[in-house]
Amino acid sequence: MTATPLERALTTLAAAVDWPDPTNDLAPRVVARITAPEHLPFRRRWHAVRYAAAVAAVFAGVLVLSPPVRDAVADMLEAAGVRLNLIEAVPQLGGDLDLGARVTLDEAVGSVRFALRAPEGGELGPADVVYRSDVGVIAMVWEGSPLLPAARGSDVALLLMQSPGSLTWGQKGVGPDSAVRVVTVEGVDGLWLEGAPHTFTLLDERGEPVEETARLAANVLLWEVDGINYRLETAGDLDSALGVVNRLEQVR
Amino acid sequence: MDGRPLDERELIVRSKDGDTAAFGELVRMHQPLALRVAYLVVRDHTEAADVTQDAFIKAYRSIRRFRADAPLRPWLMRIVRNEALNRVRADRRRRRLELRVSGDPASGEAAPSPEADAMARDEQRRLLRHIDELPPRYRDVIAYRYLLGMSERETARALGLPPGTVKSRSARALDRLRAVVVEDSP
Repeated sequence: MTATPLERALTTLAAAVDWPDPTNDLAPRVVARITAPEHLPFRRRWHAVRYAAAVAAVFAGVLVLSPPVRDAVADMLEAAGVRLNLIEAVPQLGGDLDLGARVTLDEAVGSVRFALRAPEGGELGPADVVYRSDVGVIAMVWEGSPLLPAARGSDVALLLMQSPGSLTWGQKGVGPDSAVRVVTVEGVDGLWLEGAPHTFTLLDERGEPVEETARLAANVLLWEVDGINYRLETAGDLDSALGVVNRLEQVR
Repeated sequence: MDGRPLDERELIVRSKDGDTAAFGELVRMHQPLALRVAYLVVRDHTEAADVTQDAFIKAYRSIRRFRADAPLRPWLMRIVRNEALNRVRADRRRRRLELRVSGDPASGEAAPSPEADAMARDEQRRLLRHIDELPPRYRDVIAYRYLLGMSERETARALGLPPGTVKSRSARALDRLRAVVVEDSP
């Protein structure tokens, strides 16, 4: 296709804009900052923390019992280039959400009698952490990223829970700042709960009320396909939630 | 890293594995465009460099989640743009700066005379102002397609839009721009 005069003028204009200096090498500053422990990726940070914890454990007795020796050890470690960070607890993504025991994805697949699904393709990638609850609910957790913001007050950006069973939408018990909409998800009716942190009351198969509380301060999409309940919590909007749903594929 | 220069795929794989030097090479490869993407939003050279630096750090933190077979450039540019937009949104008192034409000769073509050069530069200033006055949805696609030189597909990925939307918006944006340029013609 031939460029129009306007398109040619725009292309010429690109060379005339007062752009920032492209030779301003940002790489050394970026590398220096990402080498700092607080900027290591989650998994590496976790290893670093575990390593620090192991070092701390080895020297714990010395550190506690003998301050002069503790200082000497600290000096020795510092001279060796090791910075000792004492920590109270190892952080675990989603560990405060009461999702059950941490398992591998393979363990999760092997522990349920239904076809577990996960989003394929797109920018999401595999879940960062997987949990299995006592009653067999599988929860996949994704850490926040620049393109997938974490929920308020959390490192978690997305939470996908799957469990067999059937829930009938029953009573709504949301506050004035929350909104509930019936939406079409994978060809069936689902619920989109949006707004302030909420509690929502559903009815189970026997008509018993089941309280549905958001684990994150986020929006929730609930739907059921082939006897499997799905629940997606996200800080994103309905379109982004449906984008995740559209990419769900059976794991292996 | 060994002496052989690594291609982008290898650098991505190494970066996903925590190789910060490999990520530094990716920064060098993409920083010229990233600075421009940031500048289109913040309109200030120093701030564009700050934003770009912060965006690369966020990209590094997320790169293990990046699919190694996907195109890196639009993914990075989307992060840079988001970072720049966040910066602008956070500062509500910010004065909106204009995009500027450089004081250097406008293009590789030799200007026939100082007078012709001044006229060409004046036209470019006006065209840039017209782009800047377009509604954001049109301004973005024009800037990405023509000022940043990105393909339709890359523009779609970098702006988080369907490719069809970029195509239709480009056409409408060019129509609008053409109309105002004609109206503004001496």
